[in-house]
Amino acid sequence: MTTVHRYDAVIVGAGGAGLRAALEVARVTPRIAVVSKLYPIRSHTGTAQGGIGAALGNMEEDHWEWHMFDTVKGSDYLADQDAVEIMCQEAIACVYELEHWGLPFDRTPEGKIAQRRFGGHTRNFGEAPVRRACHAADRTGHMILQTLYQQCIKHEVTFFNEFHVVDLLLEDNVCRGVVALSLADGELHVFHAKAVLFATGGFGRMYKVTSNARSLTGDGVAIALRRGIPLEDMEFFQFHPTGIYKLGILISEAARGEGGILRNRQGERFMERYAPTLLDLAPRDIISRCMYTEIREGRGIDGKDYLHLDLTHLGREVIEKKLPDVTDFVRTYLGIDPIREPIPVQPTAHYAMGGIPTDVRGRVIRDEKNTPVLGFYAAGECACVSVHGANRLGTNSLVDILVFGKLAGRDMAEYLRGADFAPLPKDADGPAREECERLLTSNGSESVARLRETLQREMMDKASVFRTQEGLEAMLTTLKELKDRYRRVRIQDKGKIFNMDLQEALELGYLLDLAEVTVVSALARRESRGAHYREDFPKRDDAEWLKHTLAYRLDGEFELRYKPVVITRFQPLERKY
Amino acid sequence: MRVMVKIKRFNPGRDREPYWAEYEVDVEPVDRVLDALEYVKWHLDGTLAFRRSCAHGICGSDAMLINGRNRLACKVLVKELGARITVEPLRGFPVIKDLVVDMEGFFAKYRAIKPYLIHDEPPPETEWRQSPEERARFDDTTKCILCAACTTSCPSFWANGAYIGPAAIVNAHRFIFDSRDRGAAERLAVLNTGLGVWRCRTIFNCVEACPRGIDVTRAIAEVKRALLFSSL
Amino acid sequence: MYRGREGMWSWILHRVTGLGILLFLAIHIVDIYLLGWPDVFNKLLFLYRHPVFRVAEVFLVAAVLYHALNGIRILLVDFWVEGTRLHRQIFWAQVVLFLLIWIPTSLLMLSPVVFGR
Repeated sequence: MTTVHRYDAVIVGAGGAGLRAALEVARVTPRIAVVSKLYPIRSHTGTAQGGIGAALGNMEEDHWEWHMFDTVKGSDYLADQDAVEIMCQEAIACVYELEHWGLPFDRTPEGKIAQRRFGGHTRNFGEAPVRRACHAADRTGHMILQTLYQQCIKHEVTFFNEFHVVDLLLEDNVCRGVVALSLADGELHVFHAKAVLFATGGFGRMYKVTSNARSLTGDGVAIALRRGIPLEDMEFFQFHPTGIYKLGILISEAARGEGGILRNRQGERFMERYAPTLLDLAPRDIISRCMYTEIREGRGIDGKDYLHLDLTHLGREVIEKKLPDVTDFVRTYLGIDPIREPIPVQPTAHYAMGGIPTDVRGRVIRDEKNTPVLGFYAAGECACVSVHGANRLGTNSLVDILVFGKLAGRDMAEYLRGADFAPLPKDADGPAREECERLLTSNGSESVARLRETLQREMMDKASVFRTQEGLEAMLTTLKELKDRYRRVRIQDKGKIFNMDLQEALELGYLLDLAEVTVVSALARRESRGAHYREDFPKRDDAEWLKHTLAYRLDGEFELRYKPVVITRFQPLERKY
Repeated sequence: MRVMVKIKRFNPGRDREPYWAEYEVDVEPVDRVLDALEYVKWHLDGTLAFRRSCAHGICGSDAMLINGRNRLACKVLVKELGARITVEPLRGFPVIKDLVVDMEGFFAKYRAIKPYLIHDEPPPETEWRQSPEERARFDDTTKCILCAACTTSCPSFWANGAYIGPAAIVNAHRFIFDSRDRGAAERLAVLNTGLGVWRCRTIFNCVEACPRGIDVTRAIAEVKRALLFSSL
Repeated sequence: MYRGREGMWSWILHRVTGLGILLFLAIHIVDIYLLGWPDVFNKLLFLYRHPVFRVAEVFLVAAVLYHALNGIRILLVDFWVEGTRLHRQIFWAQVVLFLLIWIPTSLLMLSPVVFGR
């Protein structure tokens, strides 16, 4: 007998967005459960380093309109400007709220929240870099996650830790709950709820070199796809310029915010050639492409596929005080002292701009007319509002998760007032049970690890920073083959207790689905915009492509629809820095 | 390079007691112990269970007893340890399976010290002011990632599992010495018991074990002094 | 055995020497109590001059000396702001001090055994 839990609201994912939403819903009802496959403080939000962008103007003049412009331009004009406006306005209140809850921000001499420069953030609509990123050393994400979790403890929010959500209960456009696998004992649990929010994070594990944790396999996004929800803008995946060579461990943009410089094998500050105004603080998609170009043209260090991030001119004081974690990573994993030597870095798969489409209230929408699904919400990296469009600016993810976590939570709270429990579908945990059984009993010959390695390697090769038609088509063929082999996967662990084998097998399934949607969407978009760069279509084409992709998978077939971008204040211009 | 990895295995559903299993693993000297464990899991024995997530020392999932010391598996490089690596679960918590231990008791202790800002006056429109000096006062203890390496390295904790433990004290310290907090008295009351801060015997294993480099014993000593002299 | 460092070793030694001193105290209280029985008392004192006991006394001195010096270290760790940061250096300084005091003292105490009366 499957255990059925009943809660007014279920939040899936305990990172920044999930916890923030939980706090909002907890104001109106104690009948809320946060279900997470990790212990909350292990969530990936904790690894965010550089800062949270908000136009507080503590160190120099700043306005939310400037932040909005930078975000819209940074998105290569694909972001929905009504959403961006809300985000940049609400960012300020969200930061103060965090501080009131105790977040230990770094301080200015007057005792105000300290802010630093960050890529793509400018004053006066692009004039020069501006200090907008509010930070706590280079551990801002860690502090945010802890502060939010602490508040959840204060408000006695109920947690189901190490419960892995494996299915969404959606029928007749009404959400009824979720099904989760309890890692401790291998049992399936049904959570019957009036409203569900997905805050399950990104899916960088599709790629070989990624900053993402092992847990980021896009579970919520894939489950939504399988339940008939389209995925928006999946072709846009950001590659962060400075991940440690081969390891993928991120060196925060804050390093460049404090003055760090990228150099090629000739020691040249090559960004001077590509982005004369913002230089090394140009947006990430642009820098990653420049780096790839430098590497391709033989100017990588020793002719290899990495470049140097040079912090040696910053001095011991700045490096140890402002970038302590960065220093620690580099010393621990490379045995390098950043005060004396440059750091080997390469573009690293980092952030999914696309995901589950939502409106500005966090409600999941199911088509280009913005029809909401009742009782189903999404926030954070797994969602696509869209505030980041084709490319996300640094520090904006932390803003996104807080603002839309809060707004989704607020709308959920409102929705709960009037909503009733919709009945559970018959045999609610049936499909999940079948899939788990299949994986547990299969006597196939394929190994999850090997399939995953192939997926990651191929995606890195054919669907990363530079894409071509041939490459993408070849990738699709590879994916079909991988999915076929996945049906014949065999896992070694047949037990019930803490079965990571089963978990990793399920996660591989999600990654394969998401890789497919990404490639299909990328093949269709015959232009280059933001992080999506087609060598065969290198120009941005607003006439044809100023629109969002909505990718459906129905009965195994893909269907692509498009919806217009919301433009309010800023007309699309050429994106130069 | 070839490395021998000895892991303490235990599956309560199947085994009566824990046992040692040896695996020969092919890794680079600059690989992490976590990479070695993943090698075992993905290529040799898929039944091995261990927690991991970020793989670079921030999330705190993979604290374990490695070659006799509590470390994060993702922060120790194989070349530091040589050709023989021994991995066991943290001591003092019930083992769920292999290297996965029951952390519930640990988090209960964390909750016991009221780990959230206590300040009942209405906040200002903007931020509360805090000088860089005030901020620096509690900086060290903000770094805690709740990995449990400290608490499970403490002989006082092994002797009595009811000891609140270094991690809880560190997190209490973080608030007690935060100029914006007003809950010092409540937290100090929780710590001012024989199973609270007074159980600490300044053994210093916690400081050695902390992957974040927190001077745990110093924080504990500051709390003890605060209790003795009521000076904050 | 958990591989601790100076902190753990010094704690273990503090406990061991503490127990040792306790054991000695117990014996000492008994033997002083025997003042009421002068014959027995004198025989006991004579026994204490035996080489085995002289060597044991050297270890007793070691225990008391270590326990005292480490006790000072613990006081510093508890009450001096820099104590926790410098505890390892203090430990090694105490080792040096220990050797400087104990070695000559031991030689003096053992000279009757080594050089005869």
